[in-house]
Amino acid sequence: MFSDVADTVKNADFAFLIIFSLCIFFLVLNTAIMIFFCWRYSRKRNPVPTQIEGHLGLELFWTIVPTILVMGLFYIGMGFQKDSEVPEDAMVIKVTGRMWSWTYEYANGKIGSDLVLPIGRAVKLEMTAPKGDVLHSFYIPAFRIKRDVLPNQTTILWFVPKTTGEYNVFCAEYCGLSHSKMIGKLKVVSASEFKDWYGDDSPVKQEGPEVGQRIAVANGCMGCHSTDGSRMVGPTFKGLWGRKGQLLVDGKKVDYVADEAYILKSIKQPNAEVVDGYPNAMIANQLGDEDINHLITYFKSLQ
Amino acid sequence: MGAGAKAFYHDDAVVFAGMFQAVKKAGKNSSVFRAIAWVLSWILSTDHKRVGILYFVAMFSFFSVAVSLGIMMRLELFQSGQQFFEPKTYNAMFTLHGVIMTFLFIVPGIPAIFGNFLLPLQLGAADVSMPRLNLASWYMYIIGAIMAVVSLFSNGGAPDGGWTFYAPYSIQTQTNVSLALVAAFTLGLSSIFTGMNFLTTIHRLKAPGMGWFDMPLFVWSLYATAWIQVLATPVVGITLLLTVMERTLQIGIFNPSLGGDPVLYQHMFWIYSHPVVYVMILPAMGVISDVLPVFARRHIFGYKAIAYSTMAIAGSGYFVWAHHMFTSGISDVARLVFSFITFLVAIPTAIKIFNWLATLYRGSIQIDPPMLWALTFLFTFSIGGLTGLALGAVVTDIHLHDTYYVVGHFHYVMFGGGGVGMFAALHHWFPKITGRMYNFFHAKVSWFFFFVGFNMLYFPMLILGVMGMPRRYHDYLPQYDFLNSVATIGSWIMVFGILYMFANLLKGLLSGEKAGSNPWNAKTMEWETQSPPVLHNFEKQPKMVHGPYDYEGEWVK
Repeated sequence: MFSDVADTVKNADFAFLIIFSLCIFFLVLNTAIMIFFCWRYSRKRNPVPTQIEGHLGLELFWTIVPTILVMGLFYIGMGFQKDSEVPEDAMVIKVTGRMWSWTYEYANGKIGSDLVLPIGRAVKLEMTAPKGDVLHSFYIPAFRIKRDVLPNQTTILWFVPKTTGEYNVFCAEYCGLSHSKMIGKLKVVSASEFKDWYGDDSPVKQEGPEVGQRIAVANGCMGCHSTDGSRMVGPTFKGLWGRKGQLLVDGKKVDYVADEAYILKSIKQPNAEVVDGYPNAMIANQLGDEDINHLITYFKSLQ
Repeated sequence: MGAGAKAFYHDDAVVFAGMFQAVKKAGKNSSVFRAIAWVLSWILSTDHKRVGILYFVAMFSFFSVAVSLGIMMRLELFQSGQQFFEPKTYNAMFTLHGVIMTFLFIVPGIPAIFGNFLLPLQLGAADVSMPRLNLASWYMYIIGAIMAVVSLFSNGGAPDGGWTFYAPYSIQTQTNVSLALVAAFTLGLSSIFTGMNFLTTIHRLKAPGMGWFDMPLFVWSLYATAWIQVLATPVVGITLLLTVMERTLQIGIFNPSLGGDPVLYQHMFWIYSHPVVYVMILPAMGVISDVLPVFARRHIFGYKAIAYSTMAIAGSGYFVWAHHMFTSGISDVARLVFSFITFLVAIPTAIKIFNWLATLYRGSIQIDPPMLWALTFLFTFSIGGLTGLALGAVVTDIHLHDTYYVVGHFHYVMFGGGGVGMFAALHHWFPKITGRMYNFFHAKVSWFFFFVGFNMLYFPMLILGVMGMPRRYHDYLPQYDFLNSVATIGSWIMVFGILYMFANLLKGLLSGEKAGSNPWNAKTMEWETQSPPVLHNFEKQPKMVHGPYDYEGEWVK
């Protein structure tokens, strides 16, 4: 508590301190009173009970005091980051949450699957999920902030990172098979480091396999397919081009070779044929023939 | 009390009486027909006490299934990395655990079992006002429950997505969500039947001389609960039907791909599901209000304050639903308004807690098993209520929403409140229902295991949530290992306690000592008839001669 990693933390941790202190106070008080009464007025020590039907003053007392306390808690709870107070000079980053990865697009077109931010600058995340996807929730525990991400709609989240370091980004709204693996990284770096990484605001140029790589990142392919040969939800992209194996079609095993026709069909009708041993979990996408050709160029580079 | 009169389960009040008599007659010569007649005498019975017991058997069967699922989930979460189950299996398990515990156990909960058994007895009535509707509610419950079970094994496989079935996931998933939703809809009908029945019974069938403020507080809690059941359940019925229509007919209501709004689903879902939280907890509060005075041998403190706060909770519970949605994208103003109202609802709950504590003051307290469970309720429910404060304040809720803190919080409320209240009721009214008494020593030992295991299981969840671990996670980062292991070990101890408790009660049922009509020397009307009660409860219409908490002139020899 009270780490100063972002501007959102101070108010939240102050509220936690007050609320949890109050909780512990009342829990200890109530339990102590209960145990004391059970001991002091046990049948052995107090064989003759006294009949008391109530007391108006006490009722008022324990109505009014909690009322004042909870109004105080309500007031403390107001210290959240208001959507209406986004600084005008905030750096805007587009966030896409999809089953089961996060991608970030910067003003110059740079795309990444890690969120890299410069220290001390206000950031406004404009978040959405692709059509046909489901709800997600963008959650940075270290910053005490969270906001749901909805298909076809844009929600925002803004904050100012104040300490360099790496932080976890979780998905906090159930989104299917690999919900618990939808973990991203937030890297807060110094201003100069950020400049080296980001370049300037002129649009980035890419050619060759890099174009395909960008498409793969931007469409969340990397959420389920690795590029280093490790097994994730789907088969790895490493060595995909020309790979031979077996498909499961209507419960029967069929041989396949990963050529152009195969890759085209696998992307356009992801649920028609599934590689044996993997779940039928890929969702529909809007990739066109040209995108897929770039992807194939990219896959060829991953041997 | 007419000693020797037949207990209710030796006397029949059935629908389809002609058919039943024919089977019974055939049973004179055939053991098969005798067995069929016995089964029919239960499942055709309109007697409110038998209906209560039918609910008990069905609900605790499902409870044991859901507990088993819970244990398996904790096994998977014992450490980070995959332990025993694939993600698909785990995701189905937490959904089923939630659906069964919510819709099949804790929502029908205390009213369906103890409300059915005790409401007419506490009012001095012969039965509920619509006995056939009462039996019909049990059949609706069973039909809904069977559909829920069938959805596990039929096409598409077990449903996932959590008991909240948020759109658009619930609309797109290939698992068998539609049938599970129709099941929940049918269970809602059962809940409305019970609610209507209780309302009319309380309005029309109070014993001569019994006014509204002479009713036991358990009856007040059933009254408040019944209003919520009748008024709030239709909303979720509509929501579930709309979701089914969206899945089958592709109409865009909640699914953004079809032009719908997923946040609308959340509004409609919580407009029902928040009030229904009070359906789960209010009857338990009623049980506590009835048990504490019996074992403290004194008048409940602040009868009217408790009765009014019960109605206040039921009435204001409708206006706080959006505190489940502080991170959904609703406006700043909406978040502030709902946070404010949420804090107002905390006040009547605080009033109740203080009144219960004051009931112990200058009493003559004996901690028999029902009292032990009632005192446990005061502790565990206090944790449940107090941990809710951090979820009512917007700035802290944003951090805690959809984390294990929420899981810990609602288990302290639902299980530490509703469940523990049910166990208190079970130990309190066991001698009335069965006519026999259980062993006190074993009851207390089993409580000890439950209490230790319960807190070991759920308290670490609160800390995990503050540390940022989201819920509905099949796997988690290694930084959460230790507390998850503690919780899993706690689950073993708690389940041992529950099994121990039921073994002790079962032994009491089979071979316990005869309890007599009023073993606790309590003052409410159900203790004025024999144990177990006769078919129509009282040999002659009882009259109100003293209040439900009238211990004046009472002392222990």
